[in-house]
Amino acid sequence: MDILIANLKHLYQRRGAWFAYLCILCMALLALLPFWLTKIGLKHDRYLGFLLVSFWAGVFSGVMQRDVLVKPFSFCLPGHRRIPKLFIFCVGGVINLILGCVFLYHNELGSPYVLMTVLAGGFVGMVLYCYGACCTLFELWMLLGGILPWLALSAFILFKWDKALQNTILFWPVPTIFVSFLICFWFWKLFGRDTLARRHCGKLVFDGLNTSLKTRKYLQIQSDRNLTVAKINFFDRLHEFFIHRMNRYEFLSKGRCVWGNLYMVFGKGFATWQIKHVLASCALISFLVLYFGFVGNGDGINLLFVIPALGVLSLDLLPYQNVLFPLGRNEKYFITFVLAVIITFLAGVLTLALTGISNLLEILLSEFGPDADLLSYHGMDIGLFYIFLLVMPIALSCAIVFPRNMIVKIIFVIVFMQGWMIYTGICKQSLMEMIGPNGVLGLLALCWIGFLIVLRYVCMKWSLVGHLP
Amino acid sequence: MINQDPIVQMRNVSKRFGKIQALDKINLDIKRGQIIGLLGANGAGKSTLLRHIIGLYLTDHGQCITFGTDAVKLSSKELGRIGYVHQEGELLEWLTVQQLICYVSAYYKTWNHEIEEKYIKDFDISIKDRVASLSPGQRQEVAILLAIGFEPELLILDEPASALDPVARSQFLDLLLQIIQDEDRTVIISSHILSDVEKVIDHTLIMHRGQILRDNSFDSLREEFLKVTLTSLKGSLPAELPFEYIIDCKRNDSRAIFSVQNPSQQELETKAYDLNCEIEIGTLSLEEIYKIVVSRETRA
Repeated sequence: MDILIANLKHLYQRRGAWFAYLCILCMALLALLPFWLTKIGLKHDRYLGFLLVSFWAGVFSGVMQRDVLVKPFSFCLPGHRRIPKLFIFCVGGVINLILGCVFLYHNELGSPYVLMTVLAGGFVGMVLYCYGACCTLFELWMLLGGILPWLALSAFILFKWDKALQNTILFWPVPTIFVSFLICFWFWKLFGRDTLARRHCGKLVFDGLNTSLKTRKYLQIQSDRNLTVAKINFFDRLHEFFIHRMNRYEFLSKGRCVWGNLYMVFGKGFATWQIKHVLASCALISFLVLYFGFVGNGDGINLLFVIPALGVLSLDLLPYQNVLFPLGRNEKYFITFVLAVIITFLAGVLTLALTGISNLLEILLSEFGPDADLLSYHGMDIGLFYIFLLVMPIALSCAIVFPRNMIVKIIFVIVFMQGWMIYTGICKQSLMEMIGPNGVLGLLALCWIGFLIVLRYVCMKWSLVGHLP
Repeated sequence: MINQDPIVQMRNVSKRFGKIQALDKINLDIKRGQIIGLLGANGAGKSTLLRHIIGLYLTDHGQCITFGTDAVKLSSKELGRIGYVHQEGELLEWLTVQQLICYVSAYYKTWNHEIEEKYIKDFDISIKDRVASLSPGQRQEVAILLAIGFEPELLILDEPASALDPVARSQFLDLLLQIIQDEDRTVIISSHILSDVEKVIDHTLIMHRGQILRDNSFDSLREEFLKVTLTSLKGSLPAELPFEYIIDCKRNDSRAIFSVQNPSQQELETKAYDLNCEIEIGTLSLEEIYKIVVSRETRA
């Protein structure tokens, strides 16, 4: 079988890829937006939503090739220098040619330009696609998720750079094709470098999603390499703190178990933290507070009421899955509930802090930028804090029911974020205005009772050993 | 000496995982002080049975009672009397061995620091290492320490020695021999390495496809199956040997080696005399007995 064909077969053989297709399909709605707007007779003049699809398709292709290159035998594969770039350009060519067709719907296109414009659109998409693939293949994670996409998106929304690029594609298709071709050629050369197999051979791909014992052991050893004396001392003190707190209570008492469980949940994070993770988290939070404040006329920033609650999805809430501890199902139910309350409190404090900061920024940044309408900053509406309290029990339930299924958790986050965006887009009234304070209180009670029922059911009726990997 | 009160009782316990019947109407009494060898092929249901005893699994049918309480409702008090080593050997990887021992010992009032120190010394465990960096064998050694450190009344060992090297296995057996000196301690040990197990057990449970084929004391099992070596003193042995219940016969013209079930020693000797043969009667190893029991069941 041809090696390229064998690689292309991964597109349907790899089960994890189907999840990526689902995500890309959701994003493809952006590319189809102009068609829909035309159908319902609305005026539209922005066609570049498809670039986002191209970018993520590139990321996906890069990951698929990494998945092959990480295999221990990747060095021995014939043509391992040539196949990755062939694969990436084959997939990208097809995708971007189709996506470029979005320009067929442009009202002002004359017939001689149609083909050139579609090609130009496709080539621009191809550049973004290659950029996505490059980020994953060369592990440029900060470029991938941290800086450039956000900057580009901000530039599109705030300064309408997409219109300028779109006009270039429409009215100067040949120069656009030429420049894009040169960039693509540079990517072609880059992907053909012989360092790729050497860089990836034997490494893990999908690190965060892979929860097998072997993977976790590998990640732990990896983090051990970054241990410093200061970090070891810090963790030793933390260990002593929790053991000391445990020892203040009687043996087999609930207090001792609650402290022990707190240590299990939070100690793990402290034992494996790296300074880059802390800095990245701070940078991300700062960026979200700044970014969402400027978009959606005040609706965007309120998304931050949802995000801390969704953060709990990454926690392993059900205690003591690895070693048999003297804790019955009833005790597990109680201490998990206490843990949920503590986590809700901590996340609530964080949310309130973000609310305070964003409101302070609203005062400082209110008249910022060239376009007063677009660039006015909005702080979080403290009156919507109940959203956080509503989302929290749902997120906690999900974390308990799917303790080690990262894919389900990611789907949950995507669905929730999309749901929130649709809700803020469609409903002009807040939930409080729609159902009143009593209705919100009732809903809150319902959500928390639901969480208690789920927790009780999992602790009392499930085979707890099922939580073992 | 075995106390007659059962500490574990299983009545018609069944458990199904999808299409697989993991346990099929299991009835079982485990008495205080017994040292039980739980034997069976992969997938026979050994781990499932053990996990029912400590209430990690819920039964589909029937009831499992441990220390007089429904296993599912075991409280801290009862679970504090059970030590358990599971075959995955998974521990809290992000702690050092010392921190892990300190953390686990904080749960047990009866934690014995002398045992801990002796065990660490005997097994040469490096307590400063992170659990994640340990080999599977070292990890299993730590898991065993955590299970025996508080001197549990009921010790459940699910494939404890599978990851250990020969030296560590031998040390583990010595340790097990020390542990079972306490007459009130009950030990259930599931293992594939039957030559190790037979040195310590006094009772056997042989499982196959979710059912218990044998629930006998080890001595009675050894009496039930005997190994016979028959050597002709003059001429050839007859084509058909006149013994009942012959199992697994290997022979040539003048010599036959076979196993027999439920034999009468006197009858064996009489028939050998009639055939003008010399007879040697010996016992079978646990592995040989296990093979006979399971192969007969498979054939059936």
